[in-house]
Amino acid sequence: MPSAFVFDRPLKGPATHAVIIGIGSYPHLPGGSSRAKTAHHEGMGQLTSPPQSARHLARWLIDQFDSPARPLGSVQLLISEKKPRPFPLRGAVGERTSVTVPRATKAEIERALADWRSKGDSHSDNLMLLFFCGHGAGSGLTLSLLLEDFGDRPNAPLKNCIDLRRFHSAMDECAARDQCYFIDACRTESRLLTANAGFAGDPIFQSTGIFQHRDRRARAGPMFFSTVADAAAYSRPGKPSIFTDAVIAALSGAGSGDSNGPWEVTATRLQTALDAIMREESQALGLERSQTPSADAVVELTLNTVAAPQVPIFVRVEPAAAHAIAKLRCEGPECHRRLKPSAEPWRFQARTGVYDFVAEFKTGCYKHTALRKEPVRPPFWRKPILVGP
Amino acid sequence: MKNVRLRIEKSLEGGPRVSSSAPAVFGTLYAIDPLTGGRVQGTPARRPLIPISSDPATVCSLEIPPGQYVVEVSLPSGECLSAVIEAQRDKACDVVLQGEASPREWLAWHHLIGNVVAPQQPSLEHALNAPVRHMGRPKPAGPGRHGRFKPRVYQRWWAQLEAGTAWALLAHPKFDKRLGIKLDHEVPCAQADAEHAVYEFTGSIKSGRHRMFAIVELADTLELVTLPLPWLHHGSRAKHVIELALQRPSSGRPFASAIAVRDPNLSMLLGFLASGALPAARELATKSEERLDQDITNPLGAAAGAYAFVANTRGATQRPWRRWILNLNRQFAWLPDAAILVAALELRNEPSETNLASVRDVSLEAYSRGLPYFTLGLRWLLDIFDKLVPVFPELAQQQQTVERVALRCHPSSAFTILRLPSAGA
Repeated sequence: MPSAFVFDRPLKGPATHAVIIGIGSYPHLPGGSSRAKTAHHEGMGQLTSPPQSARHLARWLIDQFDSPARPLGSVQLLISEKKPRPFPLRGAVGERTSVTVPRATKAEIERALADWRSKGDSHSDNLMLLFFCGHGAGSGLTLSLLLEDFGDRPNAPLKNCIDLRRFHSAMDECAARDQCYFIDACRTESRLLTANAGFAGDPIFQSTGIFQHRDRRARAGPMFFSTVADAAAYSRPGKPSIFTDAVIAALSGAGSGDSNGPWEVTATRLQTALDAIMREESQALGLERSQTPSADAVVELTLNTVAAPQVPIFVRVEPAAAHAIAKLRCEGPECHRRLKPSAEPWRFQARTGVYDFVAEFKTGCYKHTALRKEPVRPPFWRKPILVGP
Repeated sequence: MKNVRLRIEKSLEGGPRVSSSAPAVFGTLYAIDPLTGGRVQGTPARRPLIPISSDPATVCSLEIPPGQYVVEVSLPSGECLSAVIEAQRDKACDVVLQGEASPREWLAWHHLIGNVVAPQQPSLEHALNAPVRHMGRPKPAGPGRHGRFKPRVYQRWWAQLEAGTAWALLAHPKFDKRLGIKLDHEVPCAQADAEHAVYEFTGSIKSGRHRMFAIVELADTLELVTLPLPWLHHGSRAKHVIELALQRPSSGRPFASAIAVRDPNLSMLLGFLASGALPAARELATKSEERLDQDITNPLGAAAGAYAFVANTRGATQRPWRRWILNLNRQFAWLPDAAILVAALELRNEPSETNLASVRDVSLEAYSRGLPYFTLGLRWLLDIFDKLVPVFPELAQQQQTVERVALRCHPSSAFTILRLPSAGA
């Protein structure tokens, strides 16, 4: 059986440990590989984005996460997709290799979470990250995360689900006092949850009544959701979801601040960055309503330290007629961009610094107009360039 | 000379108010290096309290050394505003942060705290050719955009019911039939358009003996909305207006109701509680700390501040606000949230065998007082029972009942809103 660990580095001091779950293939849902389909599909089917989202995030964590206070200690990856693909790795001497990652069935996830919890119990200053991308079913304060083998039992459809609320509550007994959860799933109302009056699946861990926190600190366990309750989450088919992209952008710098010296990504700033980025992405995708991320129990918690934060930049020219024909030139620290005319606002990332943004026109309809010496800092830079005839 | 004047532009002046002061949020102001855009190290960031108003005279005035600065503000709606300031020694500079426009002026309070979103700006043209899909269920068929949205709102109050009865009735599948809800006392709509409606409540109700709810009748559901009445202005004891905003339910948003309190001192704090931005809520609560310690005029407002403090507590604490939370629980023995706060605080203070029993007792007291006013209270009560049941299995029934009610709860509202099957369902 393949191991879920795609990265595992023993460290003496505090470390960051992550579990990443991406479920696109649900055999017992319509379109799935099993002949036995569940009657309780509630309109759900197969997904293509979650496996990409999970890979993308695992890749970013392994290659780019760099927190001196809590270096990356381990990453576990579980993916359910129609045609499993190996996950590329670099070996001990830099050689290219790849591993097969386990499917996100209940049994495999239980194993991975037990290992993850064990890592968390090794040091109270560890940072625990959980990322889930797949189907979700919600009702009120309850959210159930559907695992690959959801629906394999006709009379017990919720058997292979995780009761997120109880899981999160039980994780309060983990020694690691800093935990962060990212849930990328629809939270649309489920009749199944309502009918089962409080049963939302397996909490994986159970509360034992042990409250003695070894270092007397209450747990910080913010949860970030890709959408508000009873709402849908969106993605481009076969690509990482907009929430995944926003999380990575936030962890890469959009969610950082330097009020304490070095650039640190904190939970509060990450929340602000997620909201801003997803508003922009929703507009770019032409969604009828902005996909609004939501959060629960956000307290101050440092997630990452970045040396050179990447800042999302959104530029448009006003009036709209001018934007349609304008070219953009962006000049700054190690950044010389020339962007062609676009129907949409220009969107890209750049390092923190001071930049010039110049709207240029081939024809003489509008004057070249510049915003010069603009400080570009997290969470984003967004301004219109106002041009005149 | 105070050389910088800060304000967030938003018109909130419409509608009845008992206080002319403006709501405010904390911003961050720091000096930056104009060559690199990086913060000037060694100079502390400032946290000005920036008013939200359309009145140019309502500003936060500061004196700062000459230089380039950035000011950033996050609103409860999630909107982030920022501006670059060129401060000069002898010349005043007005900095106006312009937020997103609300769909209607009469929805401004709700828009500010995130209850209502402005319609998506029309996209110039979709650059992407690939389709966008729901990650999950297809869009459920809901009322068409141009279908009728004609909610009806009733106000109803109940005497404090005996605990077991109240919870059991709320959890029962046929809630309204059991309790015999009569949809009378219809409330007139204050403002409405095709997509929204607003209703106002001030309420002459003696808190403690009665609870007032709004009942929103939609196409096939009822929403039972906690009305935090009376919400008293500190000092004058005048009653702030409670606004109920209804939005047309849409795909993915079955809850129509949202509550805003036109209290400039606490409305932003409530918005941050609803959005889960607890550090921002705590910072605003700190502003009110001293006052709350002296005289709890508004127990519901005090409870809101207490949630912000307790949520951000990570270790044992002897801060003054701990004392007034205990006072709140003693003085207002009808308030479920006060007992929940005490239980949560004790659990965060590393409970021992001795005080676990007292945590159990105060949790049962909270349960006996009925439905929490705040959604956070319902959430915390669930968490508390999760932790206590392994030690005190006799609490399992209460836990299950609270769980059933929590299934119906609006998770993104500051005040408890439950969705119930209608009489015909």
